[in-house]
Order: sequence, then C-alpha cells, then structure tokens
Amino acid sequence: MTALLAVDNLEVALDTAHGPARAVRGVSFSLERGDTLGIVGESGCGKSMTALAIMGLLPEAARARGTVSLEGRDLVTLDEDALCGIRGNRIAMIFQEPMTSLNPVHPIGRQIAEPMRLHRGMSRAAALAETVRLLDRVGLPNPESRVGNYPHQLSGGQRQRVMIAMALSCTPDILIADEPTTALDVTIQEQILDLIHDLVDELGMALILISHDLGVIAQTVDRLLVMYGGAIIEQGSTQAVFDRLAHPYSQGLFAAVPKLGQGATRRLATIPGTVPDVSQMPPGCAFAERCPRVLGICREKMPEMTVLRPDHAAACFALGQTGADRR
Amino acid sequence: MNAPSETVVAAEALHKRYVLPRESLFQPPAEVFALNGVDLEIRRGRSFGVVGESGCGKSTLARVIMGLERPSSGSVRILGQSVYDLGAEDLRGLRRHFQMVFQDPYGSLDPRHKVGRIVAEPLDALEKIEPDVRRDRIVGALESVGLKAGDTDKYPHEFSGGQRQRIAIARALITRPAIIIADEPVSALDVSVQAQVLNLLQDLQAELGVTYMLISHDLAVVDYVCDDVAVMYLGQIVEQAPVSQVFSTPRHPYTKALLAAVPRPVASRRRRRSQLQGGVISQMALAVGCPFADRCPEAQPRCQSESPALRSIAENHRVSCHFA
Repeated sequence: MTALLAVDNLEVALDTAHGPARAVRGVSFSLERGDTLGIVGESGCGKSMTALAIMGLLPEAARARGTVSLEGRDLVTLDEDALCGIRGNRIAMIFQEPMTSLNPVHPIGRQIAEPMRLHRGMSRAAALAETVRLLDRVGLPNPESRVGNYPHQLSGGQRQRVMIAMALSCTPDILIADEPTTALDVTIQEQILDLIHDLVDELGMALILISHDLGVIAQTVDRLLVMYGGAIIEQGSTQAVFDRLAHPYSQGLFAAVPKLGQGATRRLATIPGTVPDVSQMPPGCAFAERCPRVLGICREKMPEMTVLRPDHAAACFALGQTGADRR
Repeated sequence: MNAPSETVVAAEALHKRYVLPRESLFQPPAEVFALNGVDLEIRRGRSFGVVGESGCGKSTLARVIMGLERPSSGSVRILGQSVYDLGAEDLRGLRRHFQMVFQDPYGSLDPRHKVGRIVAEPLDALEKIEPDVRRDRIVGALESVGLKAGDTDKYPHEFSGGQRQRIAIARALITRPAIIIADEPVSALDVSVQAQVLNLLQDLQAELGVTYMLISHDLAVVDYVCDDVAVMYLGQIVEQAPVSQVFSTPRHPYTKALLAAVPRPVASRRRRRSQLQGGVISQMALAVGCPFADRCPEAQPRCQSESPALRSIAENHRVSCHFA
C-alpha cells in the first residue's frame, strides 16, 4: 500500500545574494491518515521550507528536488494547474500570522466559502450553510452573524479559528499547521491546540505541526522530527525522543528552555554561537561548530541517521558517547 | 530575604486611558482603559516581573513608568523623585537611573549609526565628557555584555538578533542605572540565543547590582530572572508575590489558568482540557465587578457586581479575588 504522503530525499535550493543556499537537505518522512507529526527547530532550520515545498508554495527563488508523493502521485513535478486541484483540497495549511494570511477586504464568510465553491463546486447557498457549520465547529460564537465580518473585526484567536475553518472546508487528508499559535496568548494557544487536536481525531486527517516550541510539540503530536541546518537530525516517537534526547543539538535546545517552577536554581545551559548561514553550510554536520561533543569526522561528512530504538533515530557521529539521560 | 532596602520604583494608583478617534459628532469618543489603578513598589536588588496576556496593560505600564507616556492619573516615583512633576531638564538627569530595553532588536537600533554611537547615546544626552572617558565607558559597556571593543565601528546589520539585543542592553547599562525596564527582551530570539541573553541578564545583576523590571508573556522567563512577579489582567494587578510563591501556590483563578496553559516540554499527548473559555473582554468599558468574572471557572454571582480589592493574604502576597 502506498503511504498517504511520502517525502523522499527532499532538497530545496534557494538563490540568495550570497549564492545558492540549501535550505532543506535530504528530508524524508512518511505519513498515514490519523498520524500527527511535529517538526521542531529554530528559525532557518528549514521547517517552514519543508512545509511550503509539500504545498508547492515555495518562493520564486527556490527550487525543490526529490519526491513528495501524495498517494503515489509526485507533487514536485506536477504543474501548477494540477497542484491547484490538490492545494486547499487534499492538503490544507494554517499559517502563523492570522493577521496577514486573511484578506482584509473580503468578509470571512466569503474567504471560507471560496475553496468549497472552487474544489467542491458547491452553490453559493450551500457553501454559506457549510461555512456557518464550520465556524460553529471551530468555536466562533454567533456564526450566522459573523460570516459577514471582516478580519479586523475579530481578535487574533478568532482569526486563527477562521483560518482553521478555511483549512477544513474541503475536509483535507493532510493539515499542515505552521506555528499556528505563536502569535497567540497562552490561554488562547491552549484552546486552539485543543481544537486542532479534536478535529484531527474527529476527521481522521494527518497533521503536520511545525513549531519552535518544544512544549507545544510534546503535548500535541505522536511523532516528531528535529531539524537543524535544513536536515533532520533526530526523529522518533514523541515519547521516545523526550525520554532520551540523543542528538547534542536536541539536548542543547531542551536545556536552553527555561522551565516553569525551577526558578533560577539552575543556570540555563546555552548553545554557543548562532545558527549557521544556509548559504555557507559546512560540508560536514551543520551543528559541528557549536557542538560540545564534536569529533574530527563531524567536519568532513554528514552523519547518517542511526537507529537507536525501533521508534527513535538520530544523525550524529558522537552518539556512543552520550549515555546521559536528560534529567 | 534582603533587609528592607531602598525603593527604586514606586507607582501609585496609575490609570491610563487612551481616547480613540471620534466616530460620531453626537457621541463622546470611545476610550480604551489600559491601566486601571496599578500600585507597585520595586526595591533595589529585587527584580520585578510583570506577566499577562496581550492587552493586559503590561507594556503601557512600562511606558508610563519610563516617563514615556503621561498617566491619566496617579504618580510614578523613581528613587523618590516624582517623574511627572519634574521639568524636562531634571527628568533627563534622572533618566541616568532608569533605562529601557525594547522587544525588537531590529527596530530599536538605528541602522545608520555605528554601534559606538548607539551605545553612547544615553551618555551623550546626559553630560559632556572627555573623549577618552567616553570611549572607555563604551568599551566597558560592550565588554560587560560579551561584545568586543572592535565592535564599536560596526553597524547593527552586521550583528545577529541575539548580539543586537546585547547592544541594546549595553546602551541601557552605560549610564549605570539603578533599574533597567525590559519589555519582552527575549521574545524575538531563538531558544538557544534566548538562553544566552537570560544568563547575561543574571550575570549583570550579580556584577553590577542592577535591578530589573521585566515585562514578559513567558512565565518561565520571569521565573528564571525575577524575584517578585505581578500578574496583570485588564489593566489591573490581580496577584503579586515572590515568584516561587506565585508559581507554586497561585491563589487567583487567572494565575492558575495561566500556569496550567503553559505547554511543558514533557511527552504527553495532551489530554487535559483548557480551563478558560473565550478571550479577554473589551477594554473599551470599565468592568463592573471582577474583570475576570466572565472567564473565571470559579465565578460566583458576587463577582459580577462587586469588584475585589487587591488585598494581602500572606506576607508579600496580594490577590484580588473574593475567594482566594
């Protein structure tokens, strides 16, 4: 059986002022219905580029190679017309900024109805009725009167609910949420994550959740990828990865997050240096310059993914030296 | 616990209303009630955190304390001097004691000025000093935040976000202030860089004895840096106490909900449901009763009609809830 979504050796090259940059390097994963996958990493790690490549929404200066196959059909080589039939229909996306990703001059009802009119050929009246149902489902109060509202009349959390309603309008097989709660307050973030979680369970979609926040990832998805410098450096079930962070970068990232209730009893561990420039990626491991366990070989070639347990793998030459649990 | 020490900042009964543009000839213009009676006192050496969600007035509070926006009523005293009763010249002199670090390390540094000039700006505004002394002060400030003397001749665009925030901190430090007011100083930074800046704030406190007032939406950051914390909701402080006390035994329902909502980096496919429904109510009207009553899981009829006072429930622990 072919997987719902299979990403194989995805590469994204960007033309920058400093020459070509490899924004995504050899990313592979697959997804079935009902799966929830998290992608975690800092800015510039390639997590958003991966999502945009799957959606066929890469910026003009970017080119994708490798395969992204949706039930056996390769999306990378598909032309724009065919992609339009898939985008918003089979794969839908929620963006980070609910302020800028809604069109300010159209009422929200029309924006939610648009994909249904386009992909499902629904009449105006049927689409409106479905819009009201969706707005009600995502928890917007008084949906009948709200369909005529413009985005500026809604709060940030409400706009994100509208984005979710829009993404769900064609009951997609895959929902990609790129930092869906980063612009929101914690109590609203919690409501939105609850909602996404319920909808994924209810509709049997597959979810790709992209976040820089380890807490959001830990509590929302079953499986995760940690990305650094455009490549996956650690992956596995959320349980296995958080039980025992294997890659020095994952460990550093975890240790650098201040944890509630610890106060200043323990000094925060830091990762020295900064994220490398994607246009000047070293030939070896991208993390080598900042890594506390760097070996000679790390600067020469990229480490392969090493399987640690059936549901946990990491790409590092120095894995043997770890042994340290995170607590 | 420190011995009773000097009060650096004292704010009393601060109110701030913003008048919105008039929408009708026949109705008075609408107002936003940003601060509704805030009292606080920050003592030397005890860093003070302010947490709350967007729109709770925490940034307005910082701007009012900094003397950047005149409050509608109430007073702010820095080292005993009333900020809003001073003339411009005297206020400028007082400013050496309180400096600010802003959220956005990209927007808060002038891109056309070299780092040396940016860092020296507060000093230049205060006094005329010998070029050698000025140079030493700049280098000293840069070195204290982990930058190099050679960085004075570079422009902000040559630095990463974390380094820019260090420049902003150096600029705040150069007048050797008693207090630095930092509004979301790390929220624009990546996690690994955020940790470097937080550690720097701690080191500077240990070395120079500077006190912080830290505004943040991130409770863990406040937990890490501050000694005391005030939780704000709709322009009021709803709970205030030492950090360890608030985060271990929160008494106000809003504080409890806020703490419960923070996602923790521990694997557990989320099963707990959020306790709070709805969002923050409008700030365009002054609430009758408790401002949190609409969302409060423990609300009683009394909460709708009677607004709770901020009262002491234990030493150094104040809560505004009828039932705490």
